[in-house]
Amino acid sequence: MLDKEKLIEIYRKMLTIRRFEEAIFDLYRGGKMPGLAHLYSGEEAMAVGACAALNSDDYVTSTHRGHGHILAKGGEPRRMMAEVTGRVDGYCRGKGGEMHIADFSIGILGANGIVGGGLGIAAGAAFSAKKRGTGQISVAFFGEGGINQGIFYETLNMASAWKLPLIYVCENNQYGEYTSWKQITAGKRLIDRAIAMGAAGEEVDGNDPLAVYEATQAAAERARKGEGPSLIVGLTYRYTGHHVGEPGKGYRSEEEIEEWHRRDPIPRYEKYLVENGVASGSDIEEIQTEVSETIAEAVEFALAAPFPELSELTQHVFVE
Amino acid sequence: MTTQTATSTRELTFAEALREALHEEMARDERIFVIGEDVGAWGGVFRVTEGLYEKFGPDRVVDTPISEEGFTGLAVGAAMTGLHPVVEIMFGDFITLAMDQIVNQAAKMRYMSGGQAKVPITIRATTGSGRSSGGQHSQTMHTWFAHAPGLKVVYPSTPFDAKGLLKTALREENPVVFFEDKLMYAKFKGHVPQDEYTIPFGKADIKRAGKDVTIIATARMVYAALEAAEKLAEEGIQAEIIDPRTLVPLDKETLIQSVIKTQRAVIVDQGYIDYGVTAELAASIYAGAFDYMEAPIERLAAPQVPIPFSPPLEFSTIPDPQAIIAAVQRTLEGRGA
Amino acid sequence: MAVEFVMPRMGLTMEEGAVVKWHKQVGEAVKKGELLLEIGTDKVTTEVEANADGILGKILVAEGVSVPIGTPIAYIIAPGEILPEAEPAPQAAQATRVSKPKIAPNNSVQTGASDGDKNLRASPAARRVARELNLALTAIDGRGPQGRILETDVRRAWAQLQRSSERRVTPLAARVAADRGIDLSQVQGSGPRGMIRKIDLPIAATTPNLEGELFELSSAHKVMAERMATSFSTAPHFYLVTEADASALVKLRQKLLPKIEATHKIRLTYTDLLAYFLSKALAEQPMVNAAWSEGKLRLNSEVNLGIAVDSPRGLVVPVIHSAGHLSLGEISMARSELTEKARAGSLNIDDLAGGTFTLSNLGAFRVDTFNAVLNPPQAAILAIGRIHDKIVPHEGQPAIRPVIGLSLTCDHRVLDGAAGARFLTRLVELIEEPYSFFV
Repeated sequence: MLDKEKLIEIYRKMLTIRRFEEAIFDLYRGGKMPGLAHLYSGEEAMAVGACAALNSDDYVTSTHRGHGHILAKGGEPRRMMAEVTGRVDGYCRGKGGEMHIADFSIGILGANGIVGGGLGIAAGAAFSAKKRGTGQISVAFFGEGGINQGIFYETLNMASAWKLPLIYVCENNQYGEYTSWKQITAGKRLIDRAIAMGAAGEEVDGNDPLAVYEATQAAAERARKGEGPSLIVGLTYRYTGHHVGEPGKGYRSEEEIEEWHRRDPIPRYEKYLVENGVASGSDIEEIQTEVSETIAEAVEFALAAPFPELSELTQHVFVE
Repeated sequence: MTTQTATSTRELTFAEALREALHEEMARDERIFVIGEDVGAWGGVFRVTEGLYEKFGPDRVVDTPISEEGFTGLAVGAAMTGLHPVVEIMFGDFITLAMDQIVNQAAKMRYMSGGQAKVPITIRATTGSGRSSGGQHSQTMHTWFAHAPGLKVVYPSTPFDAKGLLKTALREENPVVFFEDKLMYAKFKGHVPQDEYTIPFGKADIKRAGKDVTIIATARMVYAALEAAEKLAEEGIQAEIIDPRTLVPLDKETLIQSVIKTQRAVIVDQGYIDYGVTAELAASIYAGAFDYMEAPIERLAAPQVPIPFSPPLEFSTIPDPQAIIAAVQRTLEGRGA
Repeated sequence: MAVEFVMPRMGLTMEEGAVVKWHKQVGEAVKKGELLLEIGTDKVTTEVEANADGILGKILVAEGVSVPIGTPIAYIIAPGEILPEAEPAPQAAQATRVSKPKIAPNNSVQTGASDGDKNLRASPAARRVARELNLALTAIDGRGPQGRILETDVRRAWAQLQRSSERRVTPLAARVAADRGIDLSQVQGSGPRGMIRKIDLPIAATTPNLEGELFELSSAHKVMAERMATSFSTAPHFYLVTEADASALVKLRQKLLPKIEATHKIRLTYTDLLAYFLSKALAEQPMVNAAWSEGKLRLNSEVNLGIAVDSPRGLVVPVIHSAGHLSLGEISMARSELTEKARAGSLNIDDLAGGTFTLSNLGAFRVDTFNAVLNPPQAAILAIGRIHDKIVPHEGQPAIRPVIGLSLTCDHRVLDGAAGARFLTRLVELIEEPYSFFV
């Protein structure tokens, strides 16, 4: 079980993610951010719960909807904010952008613009960790859309056959872009796919960070013991659609959206903390103020940061 | 002409030269591991990895399931986290299954991460037709990767070049796609020094010096060009043959300087003709040597059809010495004595 | 990088020069220090070397054309280099672009690029070389596929042009060849740079040479001819002629010979003595040391004495500058040095510049007196003949005395008879009574 500090940290991280995404929403709508914004709001419990079970040097790959994973793994809001606004002080010097943020120093091998793009890389990181004997493990975050990419099965097969220290965390937010998963997904349970390949599988409530934590913790132990990969599937929901400004919400009903707002993981966890004496109301308020300020400072930092020089264009293609 | 050192050399086949490079570099750098289908216990379908499994063990020579995208992607992740994988794509045509991993992931990772990532991965793939293997086992797809920013592309012709270039690839910190013509593995031999040597990328090799026409040829086509040059020499035409060796980085300067001298060029490659390597090299030469050219550049390559199965049809798609000679003569038309 | 070659400054006073003769052709290799061309000023023709290694890429000023110093006259380029199209138009009014080779009778190649070239099939190399050689593609026969003009075709046309270009045949040879139907492209010339002369033509040796050959004049000769003609026709010449008793002069020389020999190691001549007397007389009468200059009179501050000298190249007049400040010995040395240079053909422009009065001495020949033509823009010139014995009245009795003939030519625009006579009288006084030098 987690100690008080860790429990509060979980709250802080979820809130940070939510406020961060809200700030991006405003920036994007205000025309201050180029490209697209794929927001994680509503799914915080998955990223934070899973990362709570990881060490700093464990590897993580993410998706096009990666802000949550990166913040959960320890990414800095200001450097992320600078990256999404295309500034040279961003994590990737403005050259990666919203879908490709990475912080290799804390094992974040990048958000990825290709659905399933992180799966091969995460498997490779697991392979590398095993070969080097470092005890590191590797986590691939992806969605119920990505689970249908061929590479999921290819890497799951190899990871299971070779007992790689790999954890697949599938965030089933129920929609692949604008198509409901129910229409295009075969089989009774997603975890059956892993079990069929000789890996472990567990379904969890994707909006309960502690449930996600426990499942990931168990998977991590198995991985570090050399027992091979696990698939964790959490049911969750994304509040702001596939991307900000998508044309209409018609593919989802209003009732459904409202229903999932009622299951918002953050107020739910707040309640849990207070009811179990982990944190007081004023503790909560304090954290909320801190987080808001952190995010506000990050926005300021980003908007004041310079754009890259033209000379940046041809740099970092190769190691010279 | 690349001069060989005075130290002792021996004759090796193309495959043996590549194998030696792998042995030497794997002994030198424990980050290097080989991964691919049948590469380990079996020793590789084309025998290039023979002996590595016995010497270095299953940890460093990994047999994979038939999952080109999967194991290439896994190799990319391993390269990003401290190892140097050598991926073998048995038939170069299968590389299409791994395109995302190579082009969207490996090639772009360093750039998109603003320089945080390093992807030292070497992907070896085969090329070449002439064994009635059909349209999906006979292609030469190097140009696809030369077109993607962030990849280095190597295509050697001799055992000497192959060993030296593969060693360099295995010391590279960047993604390299290394093409080997499968018909050369066992039958094509050449002198390889005993002593340690590497060949840098971005340096073309003048395989034969001449003054009347420049023939630029890749891999197996170098041999056809040499044969054509001998015949042409009997008529007093001295052809200069240049092997680019690496398509990325490309030694444009050597090609351009040669054509400025000879004023005529014939480019020979086994890929398809449209949008192929010959087109890019021709464009570079026109850009650099335009005012000195006496004739349009001749391009010889596979015609824009899937490589057919039946031998007479298949052979007609491979540029041969006669075709090269005819092309050279077209460029010389009207020059007089 | 193309190296510019400009009209060089060869002397203090040189302001412009004429291209007399190119010693290299466009397209020919050139080495730094190699003879490139001859340049003429109004005094002398000088050889000039190339200032860089390379190929003579372009000639901007043709033979016979004069341009100010500093004007670009050629480009030396590196092998394979292409010159930019820009043309530096020379300042002088007479200067023109490189003269186009003339069309020889049998050759139909035209020169100068034209718009008709745009639609021709020609290789890039052919176009470049045609541009460099200033040839039009329209009349070049292309032997490439579908009649494409290749570089080899352009070079072949150029070679043809070189062989049949008129300036490589003397006018006489050309006429004789035309008369007899001789194909000049088959004739090997033995003249300068392969120029075809009449003797090169394959005709029977017994044909009498009735007319006599026409020779080109050397540059110096041409210049002299022009100057003399101009001088004689422009300045109104009048002549004051006299004979002076030369016995004192002879004695003076005898006495001074060993002394000058000892101090200056030089053999004193009559010219030296006369030059010395002249400087004195000119200093006393500055009007004679003057020049006519576009309607104005210039009284020269210095006496720069020109001494007419016969050289292998013909008549030259080197100048003893500031003769008025020189001792007899110094004048003698200067005269000797200049005469030596003249004989060696190594006089430079400064040696010939700035003269204010000229002395012409034909005394070595069988000439008693003669009238010289003025050396423009000088106002006067003294011509002296030989010292010879004559029967003259001396103290009332006929005696045999040495005499010397003197003739002073004056420019009547500057001097009138009296002024000239006063000068000549003073000069005779100095000759007959040298001690009057002290007065």
